[in-house]
Amino acid sequence: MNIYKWFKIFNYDEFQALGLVSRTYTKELVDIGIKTFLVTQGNLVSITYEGVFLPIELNDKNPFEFEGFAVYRDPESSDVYFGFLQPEET
Amino acid sequence: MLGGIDPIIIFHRYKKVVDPTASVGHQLAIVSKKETFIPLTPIPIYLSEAITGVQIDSESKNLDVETDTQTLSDGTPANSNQKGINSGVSVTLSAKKDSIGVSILSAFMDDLFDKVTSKEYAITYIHGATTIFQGLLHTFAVDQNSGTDLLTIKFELSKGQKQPTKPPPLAAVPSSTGTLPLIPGAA
Repeated sequence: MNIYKWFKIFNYDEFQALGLVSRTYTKELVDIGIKTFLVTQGNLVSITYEGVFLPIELNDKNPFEFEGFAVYRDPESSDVYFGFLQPEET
Repeated sequence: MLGGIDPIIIFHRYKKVVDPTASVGHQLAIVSKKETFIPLTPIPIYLSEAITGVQIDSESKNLDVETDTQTLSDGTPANSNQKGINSGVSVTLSAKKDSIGVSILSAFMDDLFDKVTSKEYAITYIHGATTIFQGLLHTFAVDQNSGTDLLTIKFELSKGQKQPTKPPPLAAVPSSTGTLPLIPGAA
């Protein structure tokens, strides 16, 4: 079971309502620093972070995990969270 | 010399670079990047008549505000909405054809022209009450007439919102650790 450190990045429904093809969200993440997330609208809404492309709910996987990162959409609020994989404690 | 003192014009140059703290994508053609400006050494020019051969003929400071007044159907006092159009200074100079000051000004203005869209420049003009800091070039013209060896130089600087400005502080985003995020308010 992978443990992630999660940060709320944006709201899925609000991004959809904007009708934008893409938008950059810049957030100051506690203990990590200022980071930029590129959110794009295609068949799925996706987040690109440091060259890693993470489609939200791809193949109905929520959270969707890839290369040490994960994206999770809260079904209730539609808030989208970005996760950084935490090293396993030995 | 207008007003007993000579003006100073300062050319500020910036280099727009990708923020080194932001990583560049390598797995996809989509690249997320953040740009920042590195200030280069500013270049001041003392527009002394004795040194540069340039004489200030006139200068003016202009503020232009658009005012839109709307009267209301219920007869209450009208609403006035205002929008800033321009705030700048206009300077007219004269110089002889062989003036070194005109050559320097023209060269710098030509050099700045390519930097207009990328916002990699700013101009400060200081002359007593007619002062503008970190302004933008609005117009620059050098006119020459036959039968005289005098050049007329006109330029206008506009004060506007411009990079580099300090961005508003970002609100810190708290974290939660787990297999799924800890949703506030969730049971």
